[in-house]
Amino acid sequence: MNEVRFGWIGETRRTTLRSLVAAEVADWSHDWWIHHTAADVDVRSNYPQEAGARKTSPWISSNESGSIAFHLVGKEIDAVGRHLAGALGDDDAEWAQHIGQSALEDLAARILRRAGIGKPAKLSLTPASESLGPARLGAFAATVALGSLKLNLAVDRQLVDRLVPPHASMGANLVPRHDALGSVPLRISAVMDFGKVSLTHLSDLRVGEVVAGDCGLEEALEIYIEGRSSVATGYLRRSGTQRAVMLDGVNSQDRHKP
Amino acid sequence: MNEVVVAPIELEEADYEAITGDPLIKRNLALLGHVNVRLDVLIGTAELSVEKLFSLSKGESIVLDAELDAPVTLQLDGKPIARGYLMAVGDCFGLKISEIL
Repeated sequence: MNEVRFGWIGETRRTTLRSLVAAEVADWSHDWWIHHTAADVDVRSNYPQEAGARKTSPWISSNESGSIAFHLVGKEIDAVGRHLAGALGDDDAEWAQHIGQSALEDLAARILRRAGIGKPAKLSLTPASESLGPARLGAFAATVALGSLKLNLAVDRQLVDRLVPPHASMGANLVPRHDALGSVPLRISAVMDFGKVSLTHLSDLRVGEVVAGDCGLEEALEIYIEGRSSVATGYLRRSGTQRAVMLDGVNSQDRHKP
Repeated sequence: MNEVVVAPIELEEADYEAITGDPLIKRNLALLGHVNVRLDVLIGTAELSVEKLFSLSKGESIVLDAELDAPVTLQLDGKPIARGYLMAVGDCFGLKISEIL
């Protein structure tokens, strides 16, 4: 079963993530874009689209540690290469595609390295997986602009959590369940097995009548928890003006009242 | 001697729907007069923590929330049907009924 955690990432992490991606994009642009100027590089976070909402497949680098996708907004990858190289014409389509793909693979590798993933998978045109889609599954998306070139980038929650780990403690330290149970109150009841009577006798009972039971004066009572599980036996005693039971033995754990 | 025919029996399918709404057996407890039922007497209750429960040892006493002279409750199948006072009837406990419906 493919488990995808539900839940949006917080605004603080989104902001941190945008800054992290923007820094990587700025360095990458400096190395790949021939007309690079810092002022023309812009990275804005947005909300990722559902996987099925896009008409074209994104370029994705994906492995078990997370996925990163590039949506080229209606362009082919050679258009990215031409924009970065600045001067390639239609005759250089193969070169433009090679440059575009290599550049995006390098950008993916830089971001994945920041996430501690040393060997990124190659980019391929792949239908976007659900985990890269809606923000409610923790995906992050950003629009990257290098001058007039715009492309959308998306990373899934796995990668988000590696890039900007969530704070582990959101409050008090956890305690073992057994320790937390310690102070839970239980109601116990002391019950005497009075014996059997016929329904005729039961129907004829009247106020003032004395019913003789089968329980001997020195026989033990049963101690029940919450009226169900018999856990111990004990003898009827007094403690000041109160009744009390003095524990005598332990019952097997699986005795229950019907 | 006459020849006896031996053949398997086929039972008629049971009809699970009542023919009329009236119960077949009238509600007459006298029919059940010979049936014995088991009674319990609730002596008292107490509240303990889980930690306390698991630390109890033999000989230790648990004080119940019932006064010594308070009536006890007679229970049938866990349901209270009467109240009364504990008595000694020979070597056994008895119950003097003080309240019953």
